[in-house]
Amino acid sequence: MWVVAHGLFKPLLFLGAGAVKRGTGTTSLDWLGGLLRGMPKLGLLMLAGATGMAALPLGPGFAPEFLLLHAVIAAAATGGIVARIGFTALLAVLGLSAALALGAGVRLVGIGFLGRPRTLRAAAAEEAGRPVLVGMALLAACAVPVALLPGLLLLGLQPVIAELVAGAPALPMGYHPLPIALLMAVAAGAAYAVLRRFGARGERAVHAWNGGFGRPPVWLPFGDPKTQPTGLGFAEPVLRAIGGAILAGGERDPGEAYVFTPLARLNFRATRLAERIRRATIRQRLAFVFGALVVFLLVLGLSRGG
Amino acid sequence: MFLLLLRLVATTLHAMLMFGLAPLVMGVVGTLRARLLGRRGPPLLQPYFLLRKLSRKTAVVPDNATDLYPVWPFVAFAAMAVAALLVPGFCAGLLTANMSDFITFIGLVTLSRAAIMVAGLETGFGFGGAGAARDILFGVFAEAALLVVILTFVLIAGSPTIDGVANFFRFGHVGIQVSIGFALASSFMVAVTETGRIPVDNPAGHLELAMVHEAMLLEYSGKNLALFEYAAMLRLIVWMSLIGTVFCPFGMGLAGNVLSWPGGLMLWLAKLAGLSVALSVFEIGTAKMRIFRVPEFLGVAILLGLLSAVFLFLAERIGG
Repeated sequence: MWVVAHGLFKPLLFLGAGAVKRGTGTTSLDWLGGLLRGMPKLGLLMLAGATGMAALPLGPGFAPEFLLLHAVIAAAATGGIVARIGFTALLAVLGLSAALALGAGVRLVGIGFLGRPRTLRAAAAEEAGRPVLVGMALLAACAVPVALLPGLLLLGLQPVIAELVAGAPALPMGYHPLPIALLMAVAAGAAYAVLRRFGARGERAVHAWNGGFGRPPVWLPFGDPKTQPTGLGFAEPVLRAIGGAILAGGERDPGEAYVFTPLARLNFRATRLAERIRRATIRQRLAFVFGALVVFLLVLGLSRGG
Repeated sequence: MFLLLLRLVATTLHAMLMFGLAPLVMGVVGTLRARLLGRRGPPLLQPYFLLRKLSRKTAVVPDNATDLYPVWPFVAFAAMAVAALLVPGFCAGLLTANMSDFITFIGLVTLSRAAIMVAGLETGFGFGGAGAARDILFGVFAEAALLVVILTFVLIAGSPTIDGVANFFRFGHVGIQVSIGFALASSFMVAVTETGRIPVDNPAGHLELAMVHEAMLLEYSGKNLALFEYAAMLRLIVWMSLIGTVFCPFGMGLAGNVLSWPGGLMLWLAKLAGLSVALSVFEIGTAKMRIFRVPEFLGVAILLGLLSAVFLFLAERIGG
């Protein structure tokens, strides 16, 4: 399920990123902004992909997330006490990462596609080519049944699950996207009808209020890009709160600190040792062979005699 | 058939009460808080007036907003509206009982929040972005805490739905457990965060530097803002109903039994009133925290959630 959903929205996002790079020459969020005006179709498809990535309900990513969380809860129901506490902690970490994925999705859509253009190339971006759009639309169309009928898909995957885990019971799917989508549509429609019937009709386009700051000068039609939230600035509170411990804000990656650096040190030591052996004189080598022979005979003799 | 009809009536009544009373609860909390602070405060019905005023004003749309600008309020409202239908109010066994999985509920609340965050980034001005970034920060911790608390409920009740947990706590002999106390404290903290009340965020504050939820709505006006405000009111009543339903389901009505409805209704109103009083007393007793102290506050919530799970495991080990 997870694989199917990710197999659909990851390529969608990658294709979109490629199209953005083609259209604007960069994929750095700090050089983009307001792309939805220049590339509306691509923007909508990317929004669909981001919904999947953030595992929001009615998106393709929610059903796998739902199953995963319930699997962890079920795993914490039985077993030794240490394993149960471990699964509880795992659940907390999963909640944390789900919220981080949401942050990433909001950041992608909000900084890259909404807001004001930060560079002229972002302002002048044109819609991506038809093949890219068609490909992305096909992926999005494939994601619709995953998003709305996960129970059916799960039924189709049942043989695979049975193959992997013998005797796994058929999973009941407690998540029903279709009624939820229906209820949401009814609620939104009712709100629209009420506002249309009783609310004011008119809309007025004005310069954004922006906390009372005035209109930007003429030579900066989209305002100073420096006054906009940037990609890094958007992530700053999260980085500051948990970056030091988990994400290692700044330059050092925990993978680098705890895996690669020790490995590199080990490699260096082994190389030095090999080098010393290679440079050893004939006398040292003979002594080494002799010593090894003595140790070998000693071990042999002791094990026989003992 | 008759039973189904009764459940339909109960669900309709529940929806009407939920949607009708949401502004009133907001008004009660506002008035109580003002009275406790020695002020006269706004009238109880002020939120209704606010909604009417906003929906009658011409909406002002920023000229650099995208075409999706008017869509976000509807997403934020509709997701919250469905969440309101999932949480049982005066009676259990609504038509939505099967769908009311805790994780679906979290997802819907998150969807509503995501729409508000994206709305904050819509015009690309600083305040909205800062508010959204801070909301992400709170969400990271709140979601972790909430999931752990839910684990405790689901394991005690053996049912993943809100309705099932309420029914189990009502009829099953749960007794008073230490872990439920911890879970209650933890879910209070998460609820305060999610609804944006003091000490996490000040709903009445208009100081830009300290705003979180309001900052994202600065560029919205008229009927769009009315939808966002209504979603915030719904959020408050939904969280109150959830806490009331899970921790105090005794005497709740059953959808299939008409005679149990009036009692359940009275009890639900009493629970809402009690929680409103508790919220206002808590709010005047504390000051708003610095933004970067909120993760510590929510860290305590995660810890309490974990402790409640650990106590549950220990109790099961000793008991069984």
